[in-house]
Amino acid sequence: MKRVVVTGVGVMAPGSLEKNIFWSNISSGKTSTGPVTMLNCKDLRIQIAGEIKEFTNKTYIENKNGIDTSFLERSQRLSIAALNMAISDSKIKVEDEKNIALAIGTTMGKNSNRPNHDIDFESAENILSQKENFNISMLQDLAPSSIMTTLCKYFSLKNSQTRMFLNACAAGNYSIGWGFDKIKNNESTLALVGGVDSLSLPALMGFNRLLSLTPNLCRPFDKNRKGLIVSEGAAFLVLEELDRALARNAYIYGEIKGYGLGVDAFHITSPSPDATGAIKSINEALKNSGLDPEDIDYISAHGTGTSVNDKIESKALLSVFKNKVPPVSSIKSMIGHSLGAAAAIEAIACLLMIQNNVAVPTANFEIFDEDCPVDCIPNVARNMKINNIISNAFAFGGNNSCLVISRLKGGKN
Amino acid sequence: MQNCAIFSAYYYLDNQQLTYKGIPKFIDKTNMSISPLPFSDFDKLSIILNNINTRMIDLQSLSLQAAVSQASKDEFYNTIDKSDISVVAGSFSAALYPICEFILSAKEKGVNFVNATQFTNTVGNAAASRLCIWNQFKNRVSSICNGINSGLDAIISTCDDINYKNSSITFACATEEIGAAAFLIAKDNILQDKAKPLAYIKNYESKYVGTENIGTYLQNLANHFNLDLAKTDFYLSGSSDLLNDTFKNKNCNIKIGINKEALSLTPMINIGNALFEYENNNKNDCIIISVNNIGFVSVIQLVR
Repeated sequence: MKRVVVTGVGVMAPGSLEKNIFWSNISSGKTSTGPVTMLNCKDLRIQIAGEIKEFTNKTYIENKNGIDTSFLERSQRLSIAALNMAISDSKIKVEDEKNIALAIGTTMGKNSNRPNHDIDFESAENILSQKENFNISMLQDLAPSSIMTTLCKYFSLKNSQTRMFLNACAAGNYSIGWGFDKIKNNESTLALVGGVDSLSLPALMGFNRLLSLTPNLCRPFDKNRKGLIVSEGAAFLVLEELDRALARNAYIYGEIKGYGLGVDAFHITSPSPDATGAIKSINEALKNSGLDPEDIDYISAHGTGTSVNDKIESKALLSVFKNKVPPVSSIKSMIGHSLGAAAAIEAIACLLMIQNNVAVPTANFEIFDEDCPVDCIPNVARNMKINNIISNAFAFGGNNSCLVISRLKGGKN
Repeated sequence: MQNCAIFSAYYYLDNQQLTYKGIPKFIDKTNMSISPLPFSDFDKLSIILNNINTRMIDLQSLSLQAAVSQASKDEFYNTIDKSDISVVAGSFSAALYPICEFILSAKEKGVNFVNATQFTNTVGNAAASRLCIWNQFKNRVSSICNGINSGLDAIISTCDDINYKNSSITFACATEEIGAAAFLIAKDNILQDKAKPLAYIKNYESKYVGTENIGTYLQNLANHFNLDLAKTDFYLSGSSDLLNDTFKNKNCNIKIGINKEALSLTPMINIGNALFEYENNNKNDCIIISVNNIGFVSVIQLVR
C-alpha cells in the first residue's frame, strides 16, 4: 500500500482568496460572514451568509482551452480558481501527467447565472415544461456533472479518472477519501480532490425553512447557539504518492492517513440521537489510519452551530475518546457553512494548523453548554504541537465522514 | 480481477417493478434500441410503496425504493444482515427537477413558506440516503453524477470499494425521474453458499479521454481489455456516433446499438438484457460501454 501526502492546496472562502489570507483570518478568529449582498433575498426571514465578495474573473481565472470563463456559472469559476491555486502550489505540470484522479464534491451543484441575482423562476418553468420530452444537451449543461466537465476541459486532464460526489456537506471528505484510495491502491500517483458550492438561494430558503439559520453570529458548541450560516467556497488539495513527492523534492503539507464513512439510516435531516453513524465513521477512520484515539491531538469539528448537530457530535466524540476528548474547534464559526466545499476547506485548515503548530479557535463563543462538554478552543487560537487530526463532516441523510490528517513523520513539515 | 459478482438486478421502469427477466420487453427489436420511457407516476409509486410515507418525496427516491423493495422476494437476500449493505447511486439529472420544483414552490407560497421535505429533495444524496433509511442499510452511501455514464460509474465505484476492501455487499444503482435500477453486487465468495451469481465483472474502467480521443480509445478497446471479438457481445450507450461506427467496422456482435434515451439507466438496461441472455445460455463475454459526447468513457466487461 502506498502512502498519500498533500503537496498543494488552493482555497477560496469568505474573506479569503488564497491560503495565506485564509490562515491569517482563521488563526485570528476573524468572522467573515454578514448581511447578504450578492443575492436578492429581501423577503427571506434570515439574510446572513458568507460570501467571497472579492472574487472576480479578471483577477483569478483566464480563458483557456476554448473556455470563455465569463460564460461560466459561479461554482465552475470558483472551482477553476481553487484548483488552479492548488496546482500552482504543488509546482506540478498537470499537462504532463499520465494518470490523474480528479474528484469534486458539491451539494447544490450549479446555481442560477442571472445577472440580477433574483430567483430564476423562468428557467425552472422552462426545465419543468420540457420534462416529458427532455433535452439531453440541456441536462448535460445544467446537471452538476458539468462542473467536472469544465475542470477536465479547462485543465486538459486527458486520461484522468474522475468522480463527482453529491454527498451534501460531507462531499469534500468523500472526494478526498476517493483520491486517497486511488493512490493508496496504486491506481494513480496524483489526485486532485476538493469541493465547491457557490452561494445558493435554494439553500438559503431551505435552511431558513428548516429553522437551521442563525440571525446573527454562528456559535458552535455555545449554549446560546442559534444555527448555521450558509456560505460559499471552493478548495482543492493535490494528493501525491509519498515516494514520488520526495523524489521531486516537493513541499509536503502533511499525510492523509485514512478516512471512514458511516450511515445513520435514521432521518433525512436529523442525525441519529445515538450518533451511531458519526461514531462508526470516526472509529473506521482511526482503524483505517492505524491510530488509536489517544494519538489524536486536535479535532476539526463539523460544528455547524445548530442545536442538534453540536450536541450529537459531542456525544460521538465522548463515545470514541471517552473522558479524553482532544481540543475541538469549528471554523464554520468564522466562514459559515460552505456545504460541499466545507470539508475540503477544513482539511486545508488542518494542514495549515500542523504547519504552524497552532489550533484555530471557535469564534463567537460565550457560554459553556453541558450538552457539549468539549474544549472548543474559545475565541483565541492555541499554540500546541499537532501531529494527528481528525476532521469530521456530517451530511443530510446521515452521510457521515471522518478524515485523518497527520504530520509526515520524518518528513519536511 | 473477478472479485465482484452480480447476484440480482431490480428495476422500476415504465411504472412497473421488474427484474432483469423483464428487460427484453423494453428493447425495440427492430433497431435493437431501448424504447423511450415516461416519467414515473407518483400515485402508482405511492400505491406500490404503501408502507412508507411518500408525501412530497421526489420521484428518484421513490423509484429507487420501488426497484430495491423487490429484493425481499429473493430468499438469499433475507439472509443478509442489512446493516452490512452499502449503496452507490448515480444519476444524470441529479436533483435538477426537484430544484426547479422547489424554486417554483417559492413563487407560489413565498420564500419563507416552502416545504422542508421538498428542500431535502434538492440535495443530490436524497435518493440514496432514503434508500438507507427505509431499508436500514448502514455501511456506506455514495451519490455520484457523471452524465449518461452515472449508472455504469456506480457499478465501477462499487467494484473499486470491494477491491479496496471498503465494503463487500453493495446496491449499485441508477435513478432518474423515468425510473431506477439496482444491482446487488458482492465480493464473489460472500454469498456463494446462498445464491449463484448471474455474472461476474471481469474488467472495468471509467475516465475522461477528451472528445478528440474517443475514437482512438474505442479502436484500442479490444486490445486494452484483451477481447476475443468473436466471443464478445457489445452493448452501446451514450451520445457519440463513433460508437456505432467503430464497432460496426470491426464486425463486432452489437447486441444493442447506440442509445441514450434512458439517461443513466441506459447501460443498466443493457446489463439487464445481458443477464437475461446469460440465463438463456449465452456464453459470450459482454462489453457494456457508455460514452458521452464531451469525452467521458465508462466500460465494464461481464463474464458468465
